[in-house]
Amino acid sequence: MPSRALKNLTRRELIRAGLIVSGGITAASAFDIPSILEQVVYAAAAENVKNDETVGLIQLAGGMDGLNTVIPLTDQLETVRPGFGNTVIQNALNAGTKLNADFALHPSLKNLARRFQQGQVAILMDLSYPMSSKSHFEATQIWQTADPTHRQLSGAFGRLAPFIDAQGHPLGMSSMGSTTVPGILRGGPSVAVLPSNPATYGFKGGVDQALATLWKSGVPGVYGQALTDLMNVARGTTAQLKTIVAQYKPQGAYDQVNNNLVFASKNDLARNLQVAAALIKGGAAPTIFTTTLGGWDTHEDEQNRQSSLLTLFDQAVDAFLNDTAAAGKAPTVAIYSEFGRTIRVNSNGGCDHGAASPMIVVGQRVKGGVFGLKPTLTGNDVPMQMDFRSMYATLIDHLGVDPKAVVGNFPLVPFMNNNPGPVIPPTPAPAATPTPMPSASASPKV
Amino acid sequence: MYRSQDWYFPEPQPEYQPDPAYVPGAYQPEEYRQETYQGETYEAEPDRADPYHSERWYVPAQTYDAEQWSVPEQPYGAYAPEGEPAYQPEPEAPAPAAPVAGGKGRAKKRTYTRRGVLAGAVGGGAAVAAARLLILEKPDVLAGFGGSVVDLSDHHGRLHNSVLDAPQTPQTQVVTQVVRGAGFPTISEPLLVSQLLRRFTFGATDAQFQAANQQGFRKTVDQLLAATPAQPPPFKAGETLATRNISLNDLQDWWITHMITTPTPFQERMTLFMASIFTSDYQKVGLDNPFLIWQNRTWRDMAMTDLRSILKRVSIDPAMLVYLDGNNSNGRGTPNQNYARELMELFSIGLVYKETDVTEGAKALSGWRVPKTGETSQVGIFDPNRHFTGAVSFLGRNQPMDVDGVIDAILAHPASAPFITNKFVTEFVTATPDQAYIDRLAANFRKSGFQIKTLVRDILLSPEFAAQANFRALVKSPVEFMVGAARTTGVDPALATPVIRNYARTLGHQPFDPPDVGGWPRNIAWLSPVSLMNRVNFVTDFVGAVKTLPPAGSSAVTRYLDGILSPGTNQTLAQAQTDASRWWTLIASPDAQLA
Repeated sequence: MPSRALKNLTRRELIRAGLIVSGGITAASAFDIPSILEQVVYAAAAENVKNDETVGLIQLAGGMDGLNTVIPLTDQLETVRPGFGNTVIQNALNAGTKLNADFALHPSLKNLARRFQQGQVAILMDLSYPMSSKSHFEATQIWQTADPTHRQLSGAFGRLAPFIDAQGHPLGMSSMGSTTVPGILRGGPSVAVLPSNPATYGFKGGVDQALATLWKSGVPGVYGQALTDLMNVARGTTAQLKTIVAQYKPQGAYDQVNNNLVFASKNDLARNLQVAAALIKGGAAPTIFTTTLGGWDTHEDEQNRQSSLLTLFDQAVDAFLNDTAAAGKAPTVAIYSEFGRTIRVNSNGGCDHGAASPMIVVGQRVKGGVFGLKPTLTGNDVPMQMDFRSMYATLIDHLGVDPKAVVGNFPLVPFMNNNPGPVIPPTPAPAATPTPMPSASASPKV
Repeated sequence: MYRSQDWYFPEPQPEYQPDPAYVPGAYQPEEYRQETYQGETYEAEPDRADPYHSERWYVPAQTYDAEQWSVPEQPYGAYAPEGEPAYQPEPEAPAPAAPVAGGKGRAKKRTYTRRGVLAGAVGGGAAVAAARLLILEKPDVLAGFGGSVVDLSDHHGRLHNSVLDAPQTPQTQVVTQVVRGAGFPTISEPLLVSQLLRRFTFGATDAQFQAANQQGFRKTVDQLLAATPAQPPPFKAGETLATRNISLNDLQDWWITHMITTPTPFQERMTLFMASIFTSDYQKVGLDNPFLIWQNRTWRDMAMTDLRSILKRVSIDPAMLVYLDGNNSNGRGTPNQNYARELMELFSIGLVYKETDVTEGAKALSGWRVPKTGETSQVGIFDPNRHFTGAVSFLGRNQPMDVDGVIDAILAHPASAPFITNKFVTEFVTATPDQAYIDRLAANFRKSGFQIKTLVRDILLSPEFAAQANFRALVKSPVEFMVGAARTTGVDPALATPVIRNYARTLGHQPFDPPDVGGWPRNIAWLSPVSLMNRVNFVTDFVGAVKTLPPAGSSAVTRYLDGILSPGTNQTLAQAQTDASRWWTLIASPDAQLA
C-alpha cells in the first residue's frame, strides 16, 4: 500500500497490511508498509499532531534485590540480614537518599532520591504475582507476557499493537541494544530493533545495489521469506536512522562527560538510553521502548555488585531524563525484574531467588510517592503487595489504551499524573568534574 | 542466569503455498501473457510462460499426477528400507557437449514434463523421486563458468549424480535454481554429505570435500566420529595458575584461529556446541586465571564421551565453579543455589524440578573450590569441611549425597535423556523436531549409557537428518558462518581472525562470552535486520582484509552452497567480475546463512 499519512491509517488497514500479527516474526515487507522508522515517527510537524507520551521499560535482568534498593528503615533488617542491615541503612542516611520516614533508597541512587523529592519518582512496593516462579527463564517469560498461566505467547506491550492511542496514531515500539525483538514487545508489528551504537548502523562498501539483487525474494527453505523481509527492513531503516542520529545534539550529562553520541563510559544502559533520547528528540519517538541491564543475579557479593549496578542505573536514567527534558520532552521510565531475592543472606554474601520486589517508575509525568506498605520481613521471601500487572495496566492506561484487553482486569495504581504541567527543564549542570562511571568489569553480567 | 529472550521464537514451519495464478488445464504458454508477482502484474514474454524456462522456475504441483506417480520421498544412501538395496547411481552414457550459443537461448523448447522426468527415473535401485533439476541454459549465468558447459542430462529427464558421475573435466557443474518456498531438490547422497560437512565441520575444504564424496556418507560419518580432537597450541601468555592479565582479544583469537586451522573440525564443532550449553564467561570468571583456557581444552576432550563424565567434570570445573558460584559454597551454612538450579534446569533435565530440589541439591554440591596458586590440580578441589554431610532429599532420593550422587539422581530422572537429545536435535537437525523422534533417540541414548557418540551417530544416520524438510533448515550461528567462510576460502588465519573476532562481538556470538548461562540463541533468533546487516558487513570486511582469494569457480559453488542458488544469488553471481566479488556474492548471499 502506498505510503500515507500515518494518522489516517485505521485499524482495519493495519490488519490488512499484515501489521497485526500475534506472535511470529516481526518482519515487514517493504512492499506493504513504509519503513520501520517511519512507522515509529508520528507525522508531527507536517500534520500538526503530536503524541509526546513515551514509556521506556528497563529490564533489570537477573532478579533485583528490592530489599537492598528500596530499604525499609527498620531494625528488623539487621535481624534478618546480620552484618548488612544496619550498614546499608546508615550508608543511605549518610548519602542523603532517605525518602520519607519509612524508606530510603540505596546510597548509589542519589539522583533518583533527588527526583523523588521533586515528585517524579513512584515506588510501587513488592510487585509480583501469585505462586511466583523462581526460575529466571520462566519468571522472565511471565513478566514479559503478563500471563502466569503461560498461555500468552506475545509480549504484554506487544499486544498494544492493534490498539491506537487516544489521538489516533499507531503505536511505535523500539528496542535498544539488542539484536532481536525483546519478549515484552513481541507480537508488535513494527519493532525497531536498534543497536547500541547507531554509528555502525549501515552497510559498508556501497553494496546496497548488489544487495537489492542478491537478497530478492525466492530464497528457498523455511527461512527464505524471513531472510528477504528482514533484509528489506534493514535496508529501509539505515538512511533514516543515520539522519536522526546526525541531527541529534546531546545535552546534559551526555554533553558533560563527552561530546559524542556514544556515552563515554562503558555504561551500556546509558548508551542505549541515549539512542532512545536521539529518537525522541529527533521526532521519531517510539511510544514504547525497552532495553536491558543485566548482572542482577547476585548470589554472592551482593553489596558490591548491586552498588555498582545501581550507580550505572541511576546515572543512566538521570542523564536520559535531563537530555530529553532539555528538549521539552518528558518520557516515563519504568523498571521490571523477574523476581526479588530472599530476605536472608547466604554464606557467600548474596541472596538467592526470591519473590516480590519494589519497582520504580520515574519521569515528569509521574505522580511521585511510595505506593504500598513496608515489607513483611518474616519467612524466606518478601510477600506480594500488588500484582505487577497493575503497574502495566496503569502505564497502558497512560498511553490512552484500555488495559483490560491487554493485560486483564487489574486495579490501576494512581502513580501517573493525569494533568501534567509543562516540562521542567533540567537543573543546570553542577560544574566541576562529573562522577566517573564504574567500568564495565565492575558489573559482571548475569 | 537465564535466557531472557529465548522463551518464544516461533520457528517457521515448512508449508506449501500453491500458486493462485495457476489454473490447471488452462495453461497455454502462448496465451499466458500476464504474471502476477508480489501483487503487481506485468507483461510476460511468451517464453516465460514455460515453467521450465521462466525466471521464476515455478513448477506447479498440479502437473504432478499424484495417482499414477505416487513416489514417497526417500533419502538416498543413508537410509535403506528393509529389503531394498542401498541406492546405486545408475551409470549413464556421457552426454555430448552442447555449447550454448550467445544471446537469449530460449528458442529451443524442451519437452520436459514432470511425468516424463519421473518416468525416466522410476525403476532402478531404491525408490527414487527424480529431481526437478534441470540444466540452465541461460548464457548470462553460464558465461561466468568458463564457456563450455557439458549438458549432464541424459535427455530422459534423469540427472547425473553430479559428483560421482560427471566427466572429469574442469568447470563442469550443475548449477541449479530452485523454486521459492520449500522447494529444494530431493536429497541425494552428495547433498547429504554436503549437509554433514556444512553442519558438523564448519564447511569443508576442497580436500575434505573430495574425500568425503569419494567415501560416501556412512564412511565419512565413521571417520569423523573416530577422530581424536586436536588441541590448540599452548596459549602464549601461559596456562598455569600463575597466569595473569590474559588479553581477551588474544584469548578469542586463540580459539578462532584453531577453529579455522584444526585438522579435526568435527570435534571442534562439538566443542563449540559444548561451550554453548555448559557456559562460562570471562566477565565473571575473570582473565587473571587460566580457568577459561582449561575449560576450553576440557570441553574439547570430553565433547564425545558420555554424559555422566561430562556432568561430573562440569560440576567440578574451576571456571564453572566461579561462574555459577559453586566456589567456596559452604554446605554447613546456607549454600547458594545458583549451580544446583542451573545444573538441573539448563544442563540436564529442564524445568521439571521442585524448589526444594534446588536447596537440597545446593547442599549436596557444596564443598568444592578452585585450585589456588601453588596447587597442581586442574579441577576443583573438594573440602570435606564445607560439605553438608546429612541426608538430602533430592529428586526423589533421600540420602547423604555428594556430586556423584547428585548426578546419579539426575541421570535416573526420565527427563534427562530427552532433554539432552533435544538440545542436539535442535542444534543439528531441525528447529522443530517431532517428539517421537526425540523419544526414539533418547531411548537409545539412555540404553547406551548416555554415550554421546551413540547419540550423534543415531542422529546422523536417522532419516530425519536426511529428510527433505530438514535440508538447510537451520540458520548458521555467526561464528559458524564466519569460520565457515574462512575455512572454505582457505585464507590466511592471521588475516581472517581479527575480522571474525570483531564481528563476533557485534553479532552477539563472542567466544567465552555468552549473553547468559542459557547460552546463545538459535536459528530464527539469530535473524534480525541488524544482524543481517552486520553479517553482510562482515563479508565486505573479510573479503577486503584477506587480500587473496582462491578462484570462485563452479567447484567452489558446489562445495559452499551445494550448487543450489536462489535466483538473486544466481543473478548477482553472473554479474560479478572478479573472484573477490564472486566470493562476496557467495558468502553474503541468503543461501549462505542457512545450515
